[in-house]
Amino acid sequence: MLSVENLSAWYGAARILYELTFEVGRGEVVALMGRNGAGKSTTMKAIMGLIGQRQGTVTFSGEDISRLEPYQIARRGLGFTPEDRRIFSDLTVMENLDIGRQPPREFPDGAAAPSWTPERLFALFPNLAEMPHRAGGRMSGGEQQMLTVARTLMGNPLLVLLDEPSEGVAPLIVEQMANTIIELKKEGLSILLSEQNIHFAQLVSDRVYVLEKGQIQWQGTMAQLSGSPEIQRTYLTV
Amino acid sequence: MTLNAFLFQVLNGLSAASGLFLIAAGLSLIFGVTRIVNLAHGSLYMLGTYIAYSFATKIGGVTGFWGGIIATALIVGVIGALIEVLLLRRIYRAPELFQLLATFALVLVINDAALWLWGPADLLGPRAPGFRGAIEILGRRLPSYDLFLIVIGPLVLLALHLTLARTRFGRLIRAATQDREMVGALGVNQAVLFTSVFALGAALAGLGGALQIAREPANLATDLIALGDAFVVVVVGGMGSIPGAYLAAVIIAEVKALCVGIGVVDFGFITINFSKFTLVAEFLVMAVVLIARPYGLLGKAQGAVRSIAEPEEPIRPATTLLKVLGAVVLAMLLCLPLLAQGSPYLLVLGIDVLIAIIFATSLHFIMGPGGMHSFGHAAYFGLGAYGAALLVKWLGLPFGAALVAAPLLALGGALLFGWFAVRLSGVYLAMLTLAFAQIVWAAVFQWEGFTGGSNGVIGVWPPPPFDKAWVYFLLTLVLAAIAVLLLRRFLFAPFGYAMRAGRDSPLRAEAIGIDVKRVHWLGFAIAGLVCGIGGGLFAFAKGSISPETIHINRSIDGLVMVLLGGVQTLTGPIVGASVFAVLQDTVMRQTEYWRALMGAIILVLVLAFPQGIVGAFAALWRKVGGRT
Amino acid sequence: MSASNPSVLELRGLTKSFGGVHAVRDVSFEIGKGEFLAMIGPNGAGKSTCFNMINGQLAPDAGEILCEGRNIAGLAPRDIWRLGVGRTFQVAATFGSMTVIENVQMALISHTRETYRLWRPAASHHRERALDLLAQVNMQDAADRPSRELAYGDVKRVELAIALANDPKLLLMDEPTAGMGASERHGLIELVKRLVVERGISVLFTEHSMDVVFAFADRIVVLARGRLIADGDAAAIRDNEQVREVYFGTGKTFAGAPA
Repeated sequence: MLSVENLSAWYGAARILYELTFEVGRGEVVALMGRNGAGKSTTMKAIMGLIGQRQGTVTFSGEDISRLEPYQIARRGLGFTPEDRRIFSDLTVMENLDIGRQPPREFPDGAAAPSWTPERLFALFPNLAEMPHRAGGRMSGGEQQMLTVARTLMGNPLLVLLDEPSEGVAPLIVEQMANTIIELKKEGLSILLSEQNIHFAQLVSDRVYVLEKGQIQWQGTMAQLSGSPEIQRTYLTV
Repeated sequence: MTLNAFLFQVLNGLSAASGLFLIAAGLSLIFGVTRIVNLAHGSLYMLGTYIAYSFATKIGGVTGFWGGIIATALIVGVIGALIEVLLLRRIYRAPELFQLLATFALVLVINDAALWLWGPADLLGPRAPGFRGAIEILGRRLPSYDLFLIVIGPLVLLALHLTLARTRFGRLIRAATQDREMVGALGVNQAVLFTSVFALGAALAGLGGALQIAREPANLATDLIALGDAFVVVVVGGMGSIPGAYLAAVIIAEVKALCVGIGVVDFGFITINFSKFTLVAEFLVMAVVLIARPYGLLGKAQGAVRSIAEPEEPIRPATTLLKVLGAVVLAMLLCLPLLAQGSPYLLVLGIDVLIAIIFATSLHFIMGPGGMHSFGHAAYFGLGAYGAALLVKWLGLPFGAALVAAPLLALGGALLFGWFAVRLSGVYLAMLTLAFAQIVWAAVFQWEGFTGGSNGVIGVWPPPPFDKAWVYFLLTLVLAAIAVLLLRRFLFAPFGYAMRAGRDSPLRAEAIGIDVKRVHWLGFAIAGLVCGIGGGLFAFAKGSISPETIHINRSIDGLVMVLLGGVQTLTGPIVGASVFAVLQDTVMRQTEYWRALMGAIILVLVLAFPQGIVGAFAALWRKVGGRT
Repeated sequence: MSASNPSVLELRGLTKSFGGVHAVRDVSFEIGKGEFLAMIGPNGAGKSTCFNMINGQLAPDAGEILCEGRNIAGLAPRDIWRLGVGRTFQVAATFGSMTVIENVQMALISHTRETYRLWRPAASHHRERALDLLAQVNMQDAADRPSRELAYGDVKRVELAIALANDPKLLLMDEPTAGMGASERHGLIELVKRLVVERGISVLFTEHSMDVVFAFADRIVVLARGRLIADGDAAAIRDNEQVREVYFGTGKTFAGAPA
């Protein structure tokens, strides 16, 4: 679905990413793990075209998207939910969803991608259904976190870049997020998840890449990582 | 004034409000989405008046007038789109002040373009076909065209409101107002959105201008007047609020109409002609509103706008190289009178440059380290200049005493205005400082008996030995050097650090016990004081002063100087002021179209040196240093 | 409160509403000297509002905030700081245009009321003391680097040094480990704990990482819908049925889950 080759990125003079190579298969949930500042968010922004200075090739659905603008990338079915949520606080829940709306989409093989409507999303996130006309700025952090995911799904993406969905929300909401990801996987979506919370990542991911200082230090299945306290200690020091 | 006369003035105000609203709504929309305060918005309005005039007179009749108005709105919209695509698109990532500079360059270019195309004379359009008569209301005759204008404002308001609330385009505008990058990441083509918003805003300004030709002549001074009005309306109504813009337009227009309606009133001890105080009244309303509701009547506190400007380096004490360089420059300047024996012009230029340096350095003091982008620094320059000149003229104060009194008057003004200004930040602070400067300007301009009105004060010459150019030059040099070194010293002292602390993170600064407002207020006062020194020197250097000394153009000149040099460097304003003053005194005097030339130079600089001259050299230096 | 263990901070019936919606309702609790107190609760429970009333960002509608017996409700943040209440922010805030040590020096200058001095360079004020504070948070090697270049975890340490500059009695920390990895989290909290125990400082902190809360807090208060629903030690909170229902969930997503 998504394949990244030798991706590098800079902020001004500071180099953040060093030739990352990884991929996400169709229907797969892949976790990018690592400490704060390891480059997880930067990786996602670089894939999404939100960082000016980048090098390397990003291929999505067989097409090279590394030179495209963010909106063009989004229109090819790549969804992005940023870690700081970035809800439009003056707009209501329904209006926020409308901004994310895109036409239905197909996978490269012609199969229809999961298609979302506000009604379906309200079923997935019952909290949002209670407040369709509330302004985004008047929602709690947990509700905003749900809205940002729902807004991205309105674009009927084939793959979602999910940046730290468990950050700064209560354990109860984290649990709902985990259930949501499992639901989305069932629908056939691919997800690239950036995460620091190993307990959360264990619940939802198939494979793991561990980032450190902008480089991939370890890769393997979630089962391998779970089964090896040593690897966890070395790279994640839980 | 009778009740009928009063109501009649209210109607007059309402018809004027429509024009104000059209231009302000466009400015507000453009600012909301692009985060650019389009200083050229008044110029687009002015273009609207000229283009509509041409349609109405060249084609004539119903088609020429009414068709012309529609065509004008479309043409100005296209011009707006071109400006966005050709210029603004390149500078969205530049610091906010550079964007202001670029749009101000457009003001200059468009003004000269209009001068070239339509000439300097005022052009009055024909009366509106179908609305030539007048209707009798309250015993007076109100032109029917005014009634038509009264209706237009609410109609446009309704249309804009429905567009913003009910259509996807409107939702996209509101979302982009908050976070344009995120809108892009959700699959929306921002370039198209930005261009269309800019075109819409420009078309509204063009329409506003076109509708005026039946009431007022097209005039080359309209651009800055309309811009000032639009600022006041947008800020009073609240940035980004379209209903707020209408409400504010009505309030401002009514206050002005009532001032005219009241006319001359004799209070017994003093006679005041209120109709002359429309400008003062307008800006007073704005100042009062901003103090009571810092974000305007219907505005909301602006969320943190995602800053994309380059972060600032810590300040370092001068290197030996810089100290030596400074000493050499100072020594060379001290020798200038010897070199200039054959050409007295060199000394005049030298004095201009030094005064510009005082002006720019004091502005930079609050703008850079204080983060307060003052758009009205000319006020303190003017207070100094007028203070010195009037004290000499009315009280016969000696030269030395007047030079000392000048900065003290400026200090007084800065303490008063600064107390209000530091309560605001960002664009609001910029607009409020502009408003205060305009009040000072209007007071000077309209208080003819005391200030000489538009003629100013003449015959303020320094006594011997300062009447010799080289002596006056040396005096200016000494004062400029003291001012620059003193301000620099302050910046390295705890006070300067506290000012930067309040700018970098007000929350954190308050949390370690710093009274940010008070620190910034004192910074503002110090800048005013130093600026006043320049003003005093200016009055005696020229021998005469006019309201030009306080004009908005001078405030903008100061911004240009600071930005040319680079706002993030301490030596920047000195270099910027020198380059600017030399350019102004030499190149600009060679052509009738100096504004366009100046605009072109600014545009080139903005596109080529987004960090200012000194900033660009510093970056180059680091690069070279990094390689070796 | 007894004279032998006086409370450093006491909230009495603290109440605040925004536009008719109660954000905080009648909340009362106290913090003893040297106590490490965690405030937890769902998003939107009123933790931030509570915090902002204590640090002076907001004025309460009703209730008292007693700092060593003196009511500080409604005072400005800078006045509360002068009374010995330090704070760190959820999103770490330092002065980006200054070096690391200048950040600490600024706090020391303010503490000694030298803010309005115009002559002697700021860099020559309190350098030794600032280096000493940086050494305590292991940041002395970065003293002369621009603070904006630091990694996020290091910025948090600098913030801590700034907060310690006026020898606070009480430290307010709003989500001190937000945005940090697991190892960094524990490192930072261990550092805080060590420093405050040495100096007898009390700490009130909010936190979503239950690992941190259960491992370090002496006591925990839980807010939900603006009310205080529980107040006790880790074991008591862990077993509290109501807290589990509104906040923990099944506890699959963190270590040390409720039994």
